[in-house]
Amino acid sequence: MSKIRVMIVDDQAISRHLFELYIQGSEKYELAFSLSSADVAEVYLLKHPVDLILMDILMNDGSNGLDAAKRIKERYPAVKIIAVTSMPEHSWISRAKKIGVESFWYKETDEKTILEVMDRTMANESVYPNTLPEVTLGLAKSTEFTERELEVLRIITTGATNGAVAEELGISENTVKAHVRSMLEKTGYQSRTELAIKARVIGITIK
Amino acid sequence: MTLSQLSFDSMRVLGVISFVLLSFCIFGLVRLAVSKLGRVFAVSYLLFILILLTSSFYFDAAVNSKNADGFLSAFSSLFGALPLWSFILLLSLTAAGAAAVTVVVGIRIKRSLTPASLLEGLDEMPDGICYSDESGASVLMNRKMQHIINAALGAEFTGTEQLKDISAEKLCPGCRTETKGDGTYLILPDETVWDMRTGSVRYGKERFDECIAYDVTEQYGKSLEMQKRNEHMRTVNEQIRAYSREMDAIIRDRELLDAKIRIHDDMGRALLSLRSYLGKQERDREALTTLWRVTVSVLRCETAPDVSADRMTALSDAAEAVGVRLHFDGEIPKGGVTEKIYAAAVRECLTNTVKHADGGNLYISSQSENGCFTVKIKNDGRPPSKPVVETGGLLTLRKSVVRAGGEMSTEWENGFELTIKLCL
Repeated sequence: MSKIRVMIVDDQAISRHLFELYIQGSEKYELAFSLSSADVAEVYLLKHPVDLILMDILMNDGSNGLDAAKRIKERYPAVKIIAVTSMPEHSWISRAKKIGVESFWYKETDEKTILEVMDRTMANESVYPNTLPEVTLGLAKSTEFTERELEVLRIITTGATNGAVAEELGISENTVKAHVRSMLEKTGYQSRTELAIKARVIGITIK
Repeated sequence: MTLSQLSFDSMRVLGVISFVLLSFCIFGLVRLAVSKLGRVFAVSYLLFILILLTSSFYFDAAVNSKNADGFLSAFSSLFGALPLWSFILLLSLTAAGAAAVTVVVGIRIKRSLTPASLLEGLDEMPDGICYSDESGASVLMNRKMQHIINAALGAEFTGTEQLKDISAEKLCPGCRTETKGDGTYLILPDETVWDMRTGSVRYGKERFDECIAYDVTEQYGKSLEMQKRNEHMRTVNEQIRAYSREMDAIIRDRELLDAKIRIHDDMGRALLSLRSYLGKQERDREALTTLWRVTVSVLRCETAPDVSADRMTALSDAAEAVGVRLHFDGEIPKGGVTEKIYAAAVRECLTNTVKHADGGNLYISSQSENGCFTVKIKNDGRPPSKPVVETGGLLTLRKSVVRAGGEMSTEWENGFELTIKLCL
């Protein structure tokens, strides 16, 4: 029985190496490619068959693993993908499900090992964490924010004005201000700037 | 007793009364004429005046023993035959009627819009107003406009022609103008701000030039305040953007640290497993071996730089893996939307070269000129047999280019060529 061909896409050499060693130490899997950019993953698929991709989401070179996963799923729907990340950005899980990514694994906090997730994924099981990693932002836990508040926060961390946030989300500027006020009250931060910077550092929202 | 039988003293008294009432009615008639109110009142006054004039004339003639001639003489001779009580009644009715008409006229004048009241109203307005005829001479102007022109030009207001001096900035010291949008703002030494708006109006067949000066001092002050706040917000947002760019690097370092912590934990598990190494099952030994291999190799490559982090290098490696060579000529953008679109274009053309053209080389030439970046990509494979229909990746690429304000075009007859121009 031929081994399952795995492509690793992760910009961190240590993470890549770890995955490589797990795969090389397994009898079930063989390493097809180990890449540092999500941008090029689908190019390899043009001429080289791959069964499973371990796709990191946030990349060094600005490419995004979920964008690459979407393109791959459109052209190669049979290829299974496991999204991996250490960031608690909450919208990635729902986006991954929407794209059709089979499984999702948190590098640092997931109790399951990556090999276990790979085995279950290749057995046609979809493995997603039951809960998001909980992080603390000021005095608040990440689970205390509403979906909309996190959407507003994500855009604010790019330096956008309230008007730009309102336009992007299709809501009024006053509503944006209300969400910001609510988040400041929850976190205990003194200003919008402090909220944006701390959120970005912790990685609760990444745009 | 008839009037003619009265004593001279009594006639003098009645004559004086008639004369006083007559003066009163003449005054009322003049006021009515000035205010241009209804004819009814004018006729009333004229009737009263006729009666009082006649009685005055009669008494004057009777007292001075004059022989009266003319129209009034015939009329006044009728007075002599009037009984005293009927004359008194006539005089009272005339006085009452004159008083009533005067009161009504007074009320009407007070309530009506006369030129004087119009001007009074205009003078009370907080804004400046003036109208000039076609020759430029002023026909209507209020006190405020006079004050504005005087403060701005140091001269009396003569007509809308003077407004050209405001536009030409022939202003008194301490005054200045500012143009924002389609409005011209005049700022006086007392820091009041006036929005000068000109136009023209038609009244009948005549055309008049109109100028209205709106007091926008408060709005102007608030707009300056808003400008300062927006400037401050722009600076803060720029700082957040810069910080965000730095944060990407910091977060990647944090990921690296997290990975190292994991390896450290794995090492800890390996050490614990080592204690039970002797006499254990094959499975434990295999897991331990793997862990140690990971740890040792990570420690070895820990300080090695990640050379494949460069986007174009990664693309070149990917191209080679699928049998295509990339040839770069010209500037390769670094960072920002341009780099993102450039990489997407190369990737898309590379995919098409392999899938459709069966080419072995992809040529990417680029240049920057006059603030615009242009890239042309073509392959050495089979040209398309018909015009290219943009779907999937090419369509997504076009959307990205359009969103960035750029242009994208494709040619197919002499081989597929993609051109993108971005002016950011």
